[in-house]
Amino acid sequence: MSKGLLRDNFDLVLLAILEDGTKYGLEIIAEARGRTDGYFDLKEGSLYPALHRLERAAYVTAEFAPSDTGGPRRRYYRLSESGVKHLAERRAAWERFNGAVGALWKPKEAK
Amino acid sequence: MNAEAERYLRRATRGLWGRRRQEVREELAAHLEGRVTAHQIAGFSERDATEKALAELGSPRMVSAGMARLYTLPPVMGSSLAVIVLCLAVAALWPKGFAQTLEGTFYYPTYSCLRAIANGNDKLGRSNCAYVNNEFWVDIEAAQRALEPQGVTFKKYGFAAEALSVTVPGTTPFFIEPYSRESVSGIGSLARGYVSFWNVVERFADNENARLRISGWDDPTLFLNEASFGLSDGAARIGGEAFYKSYLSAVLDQGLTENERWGSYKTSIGVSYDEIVSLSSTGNKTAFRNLHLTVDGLPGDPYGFVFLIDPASTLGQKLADAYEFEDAAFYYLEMARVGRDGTVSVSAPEGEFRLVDDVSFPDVQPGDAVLVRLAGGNSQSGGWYEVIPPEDITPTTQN
Repeated sequence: MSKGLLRDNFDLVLLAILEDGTKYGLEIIAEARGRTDGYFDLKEGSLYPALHRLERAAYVTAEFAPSDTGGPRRRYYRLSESGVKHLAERRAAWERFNGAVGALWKPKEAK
Repeated sequence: MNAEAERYLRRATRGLWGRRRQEVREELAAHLEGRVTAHQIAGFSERDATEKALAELGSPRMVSAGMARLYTLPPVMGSSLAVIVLCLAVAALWPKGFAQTLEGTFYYPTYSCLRAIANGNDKLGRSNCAYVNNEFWVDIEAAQRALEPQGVTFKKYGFAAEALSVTVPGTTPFFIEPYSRESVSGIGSLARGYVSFWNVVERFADNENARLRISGWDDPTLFLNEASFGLSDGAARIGGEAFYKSYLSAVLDQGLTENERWGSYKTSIGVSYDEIVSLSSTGNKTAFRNLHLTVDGLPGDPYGFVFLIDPASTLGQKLADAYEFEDAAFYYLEMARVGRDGTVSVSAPEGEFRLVDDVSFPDVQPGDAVLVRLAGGNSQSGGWYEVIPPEDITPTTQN
């Protein structure tokens, strides 16, 4: 798998998690782990640079939420319009790819 | 946040500057705090929870590497960022009155400037670098073609070219400034810069942390790897370009070892030398700003000075901590011109440093250019010199 492809899929994971709402880093990590039964165990080292990359690509927007404790503020991410579009495109592309590969996986004699 | 947490946050945001750094730091701090809280809820003490959370976070380097890839340093000119005063200061010894005539007789390697960038292979070739009118030119597109296959990332931005630098952690940055783009007949479209800083290219090729950055113009930023380094733009402006170029020539083209580099070497620039005849200081040991040296040179002659930042000093510790290098030596460069009274004055940056005094020149002949590393304190200099350490490391700017 090329670096670019891996990265693209990682982005897809993040965009998909953000689909149903605005979330911050720890939430995203927890959800990624929870929804995939631990398959995606995101680390900060890869998560935050990826989120920032998505932000720079304008697929997500991000904002600090005011802190009620006076401590460091959390930064919340949300899908932008172009992020929604990008996610749909990537999802469609993934499903096409998946479908094609899936067809090849079936043993020939099986129906 | 305890000291460990602070250190993590600092390291994770290394390579970022200013507001960007603050924001990423805050975001990570909130993340860390979230994890700590979760452990506390599970019954751990705050201290243990913090320790556990930090262990889970692992190395901050991945974060800083990933972030640094995204966000380049802004242009050096007008930068509001902290810039490390890491410069290799060299005592340049110029013949009386010769300085002004050097430029025309200058030899400069046209390709070896970038040779080491390509890990010792002459990937770029002579046609891609040129020395025209005493200025150093590099073909950015060629650099890109040569280096992208090696995993060097280029990025483009839309502001005017500012500077080109090669930095290797723990050593002196090689810095070219200013920097603009022009067509040069017979060669093509090149980025131009004045060589105005030190090159430690021989370490560059071996050091995975070496990094070339061209900031500004279309900002093709090359990251040979993740480590980043601030640099000072102060020294260049005072003068001694010809000297820097000769040093560059000697180091790059002649493949000098570190010992040789610190000793004497010949170049084709026909420079003779004089000794530093005395070393005196003003101010007291614990806080001074200006160092005055009596040198045997003519008014206007450029001189450079090496100050070794004491690794045990506050500044030394701060630098070592910020850049996580073992056994790194940090130097400060100051250049100045000899004044009318035959002395040079250098103003120390805020920080602590040690004036190094190993000033012997074995086997140096007229015609040699000499690099001198001043080491250790001597009886004349009175030993250690300290200035008030800054809160943050700030740039030295000179105009």
